[in-house]
Amino acid sequence: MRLLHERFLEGIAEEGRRLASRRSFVVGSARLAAGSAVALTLVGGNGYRRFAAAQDFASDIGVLNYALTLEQLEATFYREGLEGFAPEDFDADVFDNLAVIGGHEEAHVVLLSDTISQLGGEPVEEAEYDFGGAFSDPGAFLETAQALENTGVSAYDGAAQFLSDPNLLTTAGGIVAVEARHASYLNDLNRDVPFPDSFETPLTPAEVLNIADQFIIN
Amino acid sequence: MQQLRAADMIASRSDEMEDRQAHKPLIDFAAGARPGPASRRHALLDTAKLAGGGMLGLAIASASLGRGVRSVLAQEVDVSTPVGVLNYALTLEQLEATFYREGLEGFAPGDFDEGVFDNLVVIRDHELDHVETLTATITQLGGTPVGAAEYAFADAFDDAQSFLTTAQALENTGVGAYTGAAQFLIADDALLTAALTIHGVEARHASYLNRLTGASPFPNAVDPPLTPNEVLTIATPFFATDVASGDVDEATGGTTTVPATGSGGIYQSGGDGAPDAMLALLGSAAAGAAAVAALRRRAAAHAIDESS
Repeated sequence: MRLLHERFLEGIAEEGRRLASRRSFVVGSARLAAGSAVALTLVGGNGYRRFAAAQDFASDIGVLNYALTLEQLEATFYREGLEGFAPEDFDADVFDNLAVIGGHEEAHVVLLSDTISQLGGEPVEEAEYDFGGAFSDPGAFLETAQALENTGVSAYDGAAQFLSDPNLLTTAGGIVAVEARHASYLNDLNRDVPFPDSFETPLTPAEVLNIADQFIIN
Repeated sequence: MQQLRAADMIASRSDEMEDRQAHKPLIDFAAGARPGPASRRHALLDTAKLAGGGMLGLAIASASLGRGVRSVLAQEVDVSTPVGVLNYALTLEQLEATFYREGLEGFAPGDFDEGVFDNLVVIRDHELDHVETLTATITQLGGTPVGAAEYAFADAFDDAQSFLTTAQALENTGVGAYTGAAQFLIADDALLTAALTIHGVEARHASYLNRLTGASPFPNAVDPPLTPNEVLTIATPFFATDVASGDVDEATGGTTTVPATGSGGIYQSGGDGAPDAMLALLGSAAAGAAAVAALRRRAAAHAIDESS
């Protein structure tokens, strides 16, 4: 019997092929297809790998920093990406909703950073990102956003169990619900079922890292 | 106590295989293995590590008791035990599943915009899956799962718009309920994670239905948690129960039991070192209070309908 870990990775790889395949069809660019819509290259000695590689979290602060790393990635994606687009690049209301989503991610960054500080921890510094061709056209942007949000849901679902403070757990639950709402919306925009299964897929930090690795350009 | 738990957690995490095993059922569901009901139930049985301790937390008379037995709505929600928490969730899932199953029978795809009916069918099937999974898990834990009750959906099935509005109210309430109750499962990693994998799906439903009804799919930066009391207040009008003549606390729609020690969670503001930032943000979930208020108005409308 295959390890669950392997089955997870197969699912992730399948998702990668699906995105790459559609990307190739839509854009007709082999280069972009190879890079994929989810070209999340994390550059430099950032905290992402350090936290994502840790199967165990030493404390609630570790869990929050892991979440913060993902939220920083998302917030940066929307902040930088939306600068290059205008409302008319999308269907009606979509741009406004994307701006709302970006605002939510920024709020999550601030909330998590402040909370980590108040707990006596040090918020992880923001990394440098390479979003590849994600900003090249609205379709690429929406597909990347979709992948980020769905991964975010899985990441929170997999990490929540490591929190020991019920207050933090409640807030994490409030955040992951919003990520799921975003994911639902973006799935729909991308013509996918907003809610593809009866249950979410929790991912461990290592598995979340593998998702990113899957799409690293180099 | 929490330090003890953390130590236990680290110890258990050191055994990778054991940990994987603990999550087996979640992965079975999520990885698309989609086992049939029997095998799914069996898989769940493998998971539930918690032994016994199943007190019936949420007393709600099953429809199987038949007419003549006055059904009792949620006289007691006991979230001090895992079984109680799961039965609380199951009560809401039963309500949702029945709502979609009965409601959709009266509609056709042409009653909605393109694609909507099919998505509603998907949502219905999700709720049925949640019912099945929670029921099997509670049984495995030695508890008695609550059955479906008799419900009063009033005018919710009159037309497509009423159906969607009610669905929206139910889904958003469900999200708040899971968000608020997750903390009561903090001592059991597998059950907590399982609950969250349901919670996310409810949020996806809510997002979709909000949009269909013209509301923002994601009205808050952080979804506001609902206490069991708040949820019961919202849900009560949907139950075909003569609550007025029962001994249900009118202020809450029922009674709830939360752990005497440990986590009152965010409901005890300022308690147990909750970081100010967290509390501030949860306070700002006041924006979400508007949505809850809307749900309550909806619930009140149902109550009026029934009394007239």
